[in-house]
Amino acid sequence: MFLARIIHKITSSHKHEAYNGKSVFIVRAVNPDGSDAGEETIAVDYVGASAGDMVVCGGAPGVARTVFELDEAPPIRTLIMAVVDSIESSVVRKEGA
Amino acid sequence: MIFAQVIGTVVSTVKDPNLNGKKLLLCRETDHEGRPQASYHVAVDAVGAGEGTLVLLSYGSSARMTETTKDAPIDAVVMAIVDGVRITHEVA
Repeated sequence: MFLARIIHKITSSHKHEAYNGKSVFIVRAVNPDGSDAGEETIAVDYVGASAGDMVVCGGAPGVARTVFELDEAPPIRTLIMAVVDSIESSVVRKEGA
Repeated sequence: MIFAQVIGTVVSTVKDPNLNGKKLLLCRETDHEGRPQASYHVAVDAVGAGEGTLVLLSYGSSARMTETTKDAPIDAVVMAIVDGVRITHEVA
């Protein structure tokens, strides 16, 4: 998985049914100190994250199918599976510090 | 799999319930001698690795093959602590 920051919410009226009722966000990868790591991707949230949050994102074949308890694999790759409260580390400079 | 060094833990309250009780390790990719590379990863701990430890990190659906991570919504696991690396042949 990787650390990312939620930067935008995406709304769509015509979409695959697997996306119904789910929040879809543009997330940008960040370093542990909160600085920008560059890459942007689209992630489906199912834990209740919101714009501005630092989150843990990831996904592998089969993960979305397990999470949403579907019979068939949905066209979803990247998920937001946790909202970061803090990072405990003696080497990472704290965000904003 | 890749070599990585554990540099901390990620604390999260709001998360998938299947992550409860699992430790999310913040890892930095390294080479085989432990020299840091550019990328960071968050991986579930399956072996009790502490900060500073050189570990092996596995990615993708194979990360869900350990007892700890079975059926969990994850794509990365720390599944070995590296004691040492012995190179027997150098490839030119």
